[in-house]
Amino acid sequence: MNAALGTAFGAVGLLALAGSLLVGAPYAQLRGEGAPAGLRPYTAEAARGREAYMALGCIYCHSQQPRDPRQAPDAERGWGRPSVPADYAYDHPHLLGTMRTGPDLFNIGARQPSRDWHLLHLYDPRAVVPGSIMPAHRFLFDVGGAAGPEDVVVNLPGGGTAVARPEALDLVAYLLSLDHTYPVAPAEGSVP
Amino acid sequence: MIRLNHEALARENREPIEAPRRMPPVFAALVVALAAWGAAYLWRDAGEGRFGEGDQRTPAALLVRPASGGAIDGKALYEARCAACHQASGLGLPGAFPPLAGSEWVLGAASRPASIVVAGLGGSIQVKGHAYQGAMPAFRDQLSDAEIAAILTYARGAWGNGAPPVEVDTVAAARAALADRAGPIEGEAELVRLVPSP
Amino acid sequence: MNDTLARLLALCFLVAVVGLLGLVWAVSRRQFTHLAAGARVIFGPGEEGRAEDPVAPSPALLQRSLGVPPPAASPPADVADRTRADRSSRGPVLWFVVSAVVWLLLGSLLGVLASVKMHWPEVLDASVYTTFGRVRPLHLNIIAYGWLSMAGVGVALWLLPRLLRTPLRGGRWAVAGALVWNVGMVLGVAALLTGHTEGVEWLEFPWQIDLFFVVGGALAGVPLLLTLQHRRVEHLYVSTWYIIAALVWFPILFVVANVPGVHFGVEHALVNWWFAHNVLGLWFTPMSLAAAYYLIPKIVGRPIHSYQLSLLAFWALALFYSQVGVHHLIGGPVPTWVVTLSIVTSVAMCVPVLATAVNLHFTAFDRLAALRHSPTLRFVVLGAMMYTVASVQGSLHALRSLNTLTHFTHYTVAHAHLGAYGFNTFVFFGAVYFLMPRITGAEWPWPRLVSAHFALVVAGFAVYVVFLSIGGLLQGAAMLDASRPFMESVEVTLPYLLARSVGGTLMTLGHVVFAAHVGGILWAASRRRAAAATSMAPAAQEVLS
Repeated sequence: MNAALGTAFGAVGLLALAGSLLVGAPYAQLRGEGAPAGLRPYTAEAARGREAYMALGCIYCHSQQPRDPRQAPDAERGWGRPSVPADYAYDHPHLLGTMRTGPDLFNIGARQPSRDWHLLHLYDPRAVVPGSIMPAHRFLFDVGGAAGPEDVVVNLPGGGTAVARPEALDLVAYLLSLDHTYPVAPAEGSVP
Repeated sequence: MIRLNHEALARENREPIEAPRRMPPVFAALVVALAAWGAAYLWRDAGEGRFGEGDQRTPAALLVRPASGGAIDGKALYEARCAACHQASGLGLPGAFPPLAGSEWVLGAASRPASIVVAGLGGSIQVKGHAYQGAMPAFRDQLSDAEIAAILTYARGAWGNGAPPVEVDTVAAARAALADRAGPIEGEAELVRLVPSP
Repeated sequence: MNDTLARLLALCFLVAVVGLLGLVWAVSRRQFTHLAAGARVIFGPGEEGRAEDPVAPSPALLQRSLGVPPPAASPPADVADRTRADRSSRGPVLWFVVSAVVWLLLGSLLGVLASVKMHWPEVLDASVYTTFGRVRPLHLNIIAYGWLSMAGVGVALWLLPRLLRTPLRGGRWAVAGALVWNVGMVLGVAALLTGHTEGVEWLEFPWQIDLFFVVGGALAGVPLLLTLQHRRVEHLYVSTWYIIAALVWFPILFVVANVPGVHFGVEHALVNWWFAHNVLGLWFTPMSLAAAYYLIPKIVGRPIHSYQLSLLAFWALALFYSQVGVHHLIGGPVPTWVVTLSIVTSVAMCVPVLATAVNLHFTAFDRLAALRHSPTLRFVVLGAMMYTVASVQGSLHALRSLNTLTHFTHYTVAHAHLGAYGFNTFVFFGAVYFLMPRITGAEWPWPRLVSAHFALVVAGFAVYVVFLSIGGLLQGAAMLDASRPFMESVEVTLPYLLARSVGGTLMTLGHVVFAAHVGGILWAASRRRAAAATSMAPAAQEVLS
């Protein structure tokens, strides 16, 4: 080829084609999608917890996208029904994830509703899940100081306590808010 | 003063070029075959009645919660819902989560553990001589009466616990009695007051 | 309505692919006469078949390995052209390549730390700054934007003046670009370390910091555009196409994916993976292919096997690779038709990949003996082979049936390293070994270190990919069987995660050797300069004009 400009235009043209197919068209298709009736917006606490979820890099091991039963037994594992685009109406940015080094968390709030469990699990994952390779998040807790009346105290197995810092409480509030067990109606025309 | 490696530069080969050779015909065949396959796959699969809900969605799977199927398996439900804290062994985690094996509360009047599972439990409770502070969540929205009865029946019969099964009616009665209640039962004191031993 | 759209999509696909074949045929028909004449002029009788590598322990052995008589010297005009080219690109190339090597060292150390944490989670777990969720994205971003991007731009800055037979214009812009890019990297690393992340894989750097990359990239692009404008060749060699395309692709992708406040919900996931796969496919890959297309024929002294295959491979890559990204969301909450399109184009990637494989490997095919004596060729040919392996693997596990097993597992991580390490990084290693002696004016001081580097990274990488792939498949199988508790899918991977750490450590040791050698050649070059300045001998002041 002799034409540098031609090559550049061709390259941009094909990228534009790809972008309009993979991003542009779905953008138009999904834009009008509202939130399902059963989905609540995040509370301020859960929204802060979501920031902590990002800052601590939870997405590198946990997905939030159960697959359909005919592809994978995600529902049988208790991870919930297959997710649909509307379930993510309040999600900026998306946290779908690509790894399941740990389990899917799309319905962790329904599956594991105990705040105490979550706090202890964050503090010392192997205390509640033997063999877990999740990193301990002890830096989200204060140990050794006296607990005030408003403090949330985590009772550690074998004695001792830790006080959850606000970041830990926010993170757990976010995890508990991950409950997408409401049913969704399939879109019109999709039932054969 | 920039000095380049003149020897290296001089001993290099000429700048590369491409030989004016045609591609092997097998490549044209490969392209045509892939084009045909790709078009056929798109034609058949890209629409197929599942447009906007996600990749390969079964409409029926979206409408209902994943059901546990015919008979309710108390052990499976316990392992899914309870074992994370109380452990599969029923021994709990000393200091953090109370044991169910040999627990006077589990073995006593069935209406008490049924009330705890329905409404949750906060505050302080003495189990097998140790005090536990904690907050057990309510399961009234997540489990049916039959499921709670099955779990409790399992817990009262496993790990050497020898208490009789729990009837669905007992759970239904606890649910009805606690229907107006928003928060969890506040510790042992309120539990004993709310749910007197028969 | 859905069926109509699906059929429209199918027809468009058919038309695009037929159009691709037509384009290749039309362009190659016009060029064949010109190329045939050129080939006769450039490779005179007996000249085709010389071999040359700056790091070959013995140039004579390398030459003999080809079984042809020693060559005549290159024509003086050729030598003068490439001398001018290398001198003009020297500063910018050094800035980019040396920065890249530093980032490679840092990035691989963090990679090893992240890997160790997977089977030994207690390591450095007391501080939030060293928790897995911080280390893992630091590793990826440092390797992607520090090592691979900067090495790619450095190689492109060195290649383009040579390919266009004209000095690099405005090299100072590129030096400024390297500085701004490095500032962006430092700020980005600080941001991720302190938990300031966009929370989206491959796009973690906060958008304010992305501006540094936009400015730095634009500054580095200026000399490349100016040089293109002043080219002194009519026909553009295949490496040039890839550089041009990468130069227009990456900025568009980077801006579209990073622009704040536009993307929402699952549409964000589509942009995310369209971008992330294109960083590999339309940024690292074209830069690496440009280097491989240049270095293989350069070292073995033969023309690229087939011009028509070059054309097919390039345009097929542009058409298909740009559309594969959504195979990362198979089974996810995004429309079926987008996923299906990405699956089809992923499989269609067989076309450019096999065309490239034939083109590059047939060029080196009966010169394989040269591999023994040319470390550059070893790195680049092995890299090109890994391109084939990684891409064919990618085509296969984009199929729904296989993806169900491999999705969400460590297998995908192994696959990503097969591409970004086995292919891109190996090719860039080879390119750095070739270009540094040219632009620094010194020879590699310790040729044995090159062999040590090669042995370490190849052994480490083999362990890495083989074990992690197996571990990932076992993990996937465990996860698909709902009767096995989830924890089994964790336990089954542990020995393989440990093996991955061993492999990664060997690779990192190789990088230490490599970085030390890069330091060594810079030191040797500064010694040469000092000697030249003090001796004042006319020979040392030799001016190459």
